[in-house]
Amino acid sequence: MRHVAESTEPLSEPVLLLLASLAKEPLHGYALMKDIEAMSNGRVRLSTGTLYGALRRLLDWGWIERFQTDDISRDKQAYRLTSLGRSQLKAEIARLKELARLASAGLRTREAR
Amino acid sequence: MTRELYRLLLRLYPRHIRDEFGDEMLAVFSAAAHDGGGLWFLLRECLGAVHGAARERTFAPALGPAIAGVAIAAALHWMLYSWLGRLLSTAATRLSGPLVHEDVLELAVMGLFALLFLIPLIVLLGREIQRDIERKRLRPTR
Repeated sequence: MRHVAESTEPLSEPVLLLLASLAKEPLHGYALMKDIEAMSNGRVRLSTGTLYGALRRLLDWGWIERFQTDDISRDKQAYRLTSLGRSQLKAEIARLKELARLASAGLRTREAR
Repeated sequence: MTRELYRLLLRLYPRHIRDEFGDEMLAVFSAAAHDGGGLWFLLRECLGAVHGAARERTFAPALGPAIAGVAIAAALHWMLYSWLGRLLSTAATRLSGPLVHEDVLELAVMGLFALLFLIPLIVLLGREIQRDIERKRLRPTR
C-alpha cells in the first residue's frame, strides 16, 4: 500500500483531538467521545454522528484502522492510529508550533516598540 | 424511546454507512444517553445525526446517479426554457408583427438559460471537482 503526500490543509479541532486521543491507545467510539471531552476540558463535545463521520473519513484516508480487542461485539469496535495517521498528526503539531512561534514573535516585536 | 428515535434517524444515512457503523453508533448513543442524556443532549445528537447523514449524502454521492441527476435537471431546464422561448416569441410576433424575429427571442431565452443554469452549474461543478481532487490527494492510494 502506497501513501500520498501529507495533508497541507489544517485539521479541524475535533479531528485533531480524535487523532491525539488515538495516539495514546486504541479506543472504541464511546471512550473516544469521553476522552475528547476530557482533553478539551468539556469544550468539545462530539455528537455520535459527528464522531462517526470523522472516523469514517479517517478510515477512508488510512489514517486510522480497526483494532481487534478481546471484546469482538460489533458495537465495541476499537480504532487505532496508523503510521500515516501518526505522521499526519506530527505534521499538524509542527504546523501549530510554527504558527505559535510566529504569533509569539509578532507579539514580542510589538511589545519591544 | 430515545434509542428508537435515534435508530429512526440512522435510516437517513446511506445504507452502506448504516451497515458498517449503525450498530456502533446506536451503542455509543445509548451509552451516552445512559450517562446523562437530557433534552440538550438529545437535541445535539439528533442534529448531529441529521447533519452527518446530509454530509454523507452530499459529499459522497455515487458518481453515476450524480451525473444522471445533472443530465435530467439540464434536460428539464432546457425543455422549460425552450417552451418559454417559443411562448414569448409567439406573443411578441402577435404584438409587434415582424419587428421582432422569433429566432432572436428564442436565442435570447437560451442565453438566459445559459446564464441562469449552465454557468452557475459549471462553476459549482468546477469547485466540487477541485475539492474532490484535493480529497483524493490526501487519501492513501493503492
